[in-house]
Amino acid sequence: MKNMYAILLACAAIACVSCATNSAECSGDKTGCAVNNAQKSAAKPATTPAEKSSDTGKSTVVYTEENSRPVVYIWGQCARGNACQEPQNMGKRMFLRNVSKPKMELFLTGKPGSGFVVICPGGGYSFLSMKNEGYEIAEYLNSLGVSAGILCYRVPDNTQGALMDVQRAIRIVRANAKKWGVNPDKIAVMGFSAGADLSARISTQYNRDWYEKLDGIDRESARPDATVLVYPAYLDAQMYRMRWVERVREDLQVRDYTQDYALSPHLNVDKNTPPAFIVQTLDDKSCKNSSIAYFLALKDAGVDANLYYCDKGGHGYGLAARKTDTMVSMWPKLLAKYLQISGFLPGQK
Amino acid sequence: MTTKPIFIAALLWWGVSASLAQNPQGKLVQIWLEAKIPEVQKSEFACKVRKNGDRIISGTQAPSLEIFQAKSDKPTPFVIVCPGGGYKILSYDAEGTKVARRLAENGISAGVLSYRTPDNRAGALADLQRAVRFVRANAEQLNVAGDKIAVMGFSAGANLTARAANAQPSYAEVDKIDKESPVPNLTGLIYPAYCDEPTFQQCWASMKKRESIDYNSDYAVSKELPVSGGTPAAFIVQALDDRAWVNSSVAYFLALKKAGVPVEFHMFDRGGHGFGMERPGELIGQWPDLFIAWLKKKFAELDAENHKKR
Repeated sequence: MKNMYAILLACAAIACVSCATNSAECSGDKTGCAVNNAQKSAAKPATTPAEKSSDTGKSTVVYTEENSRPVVYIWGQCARGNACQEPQNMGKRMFLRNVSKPKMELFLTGKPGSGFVVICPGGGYSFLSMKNEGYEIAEYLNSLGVSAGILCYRVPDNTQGALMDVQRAIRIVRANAKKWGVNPDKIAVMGFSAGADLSARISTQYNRDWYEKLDGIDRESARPDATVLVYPAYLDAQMYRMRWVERVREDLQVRDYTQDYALSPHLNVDKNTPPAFIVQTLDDKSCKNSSIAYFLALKDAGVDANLYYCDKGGHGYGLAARKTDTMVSMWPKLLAKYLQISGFLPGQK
Repeated sequence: MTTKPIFIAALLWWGVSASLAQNPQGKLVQIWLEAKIPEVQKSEFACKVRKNGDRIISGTQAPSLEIFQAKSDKPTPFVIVCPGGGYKILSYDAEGTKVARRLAENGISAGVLSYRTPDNRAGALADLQRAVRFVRANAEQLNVAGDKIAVMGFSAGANLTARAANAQPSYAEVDKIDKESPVPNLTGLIYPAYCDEPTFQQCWASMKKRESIDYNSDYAVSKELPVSGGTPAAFIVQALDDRAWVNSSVAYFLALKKAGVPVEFHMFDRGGHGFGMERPGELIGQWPDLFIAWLKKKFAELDAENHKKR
């Protein structure tokens, strides 16, 4: 019996080492995380989520604290208690420019039954705008009684890595829902600009495995229960093509509705796509048709969608709290009502 | 003994308070006055009252504005409210007086337009253009700022609103009231109907209902609505589950966007059609507050623009 136990421990150790190796490859790889067959057979995923790091620090997820706040390192990559943080000077606007150890900073209200919003800040996939598309959003959601997590997905220039990060982040929330006092059926994803593109990607492609399953966490569904997109980028075919295919910085051509509002090929909307709440302004010079392309695709598929479209606001305004002379400053209040009606507030069933 | 007098007193009190509780009527004015009304069609006036007391009116021969004045020392903006009903009837209270009252309570005077029905679309447009001119011409008397006239409508009334926003004067001048511009400064369209060409053709040109083709075709704005850069700013409300009529709002929205007209589009997931202000607890029930906030902000913007021009 004792020998069996020792053998099991040894297998687990080998599995942990293989997982850690794969994670290290994933984070640096721009084009994707292809796990070759040899490694696949060696890596045995743990059957339960690894909540405490082993002494070798090779857990597949690490729960720790930074600045008195709970933080989850989505792929592990560090030992609990050791400094996992990648310290950097973020400046006054708090632009986070380098993330190789993706994490989620948690803002748990502890109120039973509250929903959870995974916040994806924007920054063109080059950086993360942590203040007006991160901390201020989390604080606002908390003020409604809704829990939140700011997802620090991999930047710069790792769109595939970012997709893996958000998929696993949603699964981590679901796996920990009971412990965190969160309703597992009320997990939304919310993004700004490029973060909204990331949110739309996971909202339409949640059922593909974007990385090799690592542990029990990855048995959870990655489907968001709702999608909130604020001045979303790259959702229409033309903007996507210009940014990611042709890589040109030109003004979008205005052609006709069918061309202007065609959904980007990197998204696929169907009747199971989560319901959405979209915010956009007419004078947004960088994202003219993106929000409407996604909205019309939802309409075509018969999915519930809300569009808050006003004429003034520009881009990057976050909660727009200071723009009190414009209608765009009222969007957070309407989101609060939407979250209430959708059952994200605590104490709702 | 003493119970009978108390009982009678209670009955009297109930009777008095009940009649006080009845909403006071607005001030009714005839907008064509002594002038010859254009586009006259034979019609018979009818007024049906629904179980909840809302009136359904049709066949008026004397188009009118029922005015609800906001309490204010300074001139206020004015909103002309066009009820819906498919151009056949007018949902006069649900999409008229209730809304006007709400606006007046918020510092914006309003008038419910009783435009001509049934099936007198040309007459209806003439009535609305006349109403806009009437309010402008009588601005001082009505304590209204003549450059802050909005028109709002529901369903067919919203289609009528869009037509007035984009039309030339549709009738020959009959008196000096018609010297005023008939174009509103702002427009509000609540679940508008017939603003997309396919639905317009289906409803008014006896075309068969056709299947969806593509965005160009489905969302082509009605040929009746020559939207341009000069079209007044618009506030549009629509429910996505209002499947029979939803394309109309999208068509008008996309046309305004293309023309660069300041447009505010609130599409809500649920709500259906014809609900007026009857969904207060729902997300779409927030529209009156949004609309009033928008009107005030937009009128302030217009003020600032006019100030710069001077």
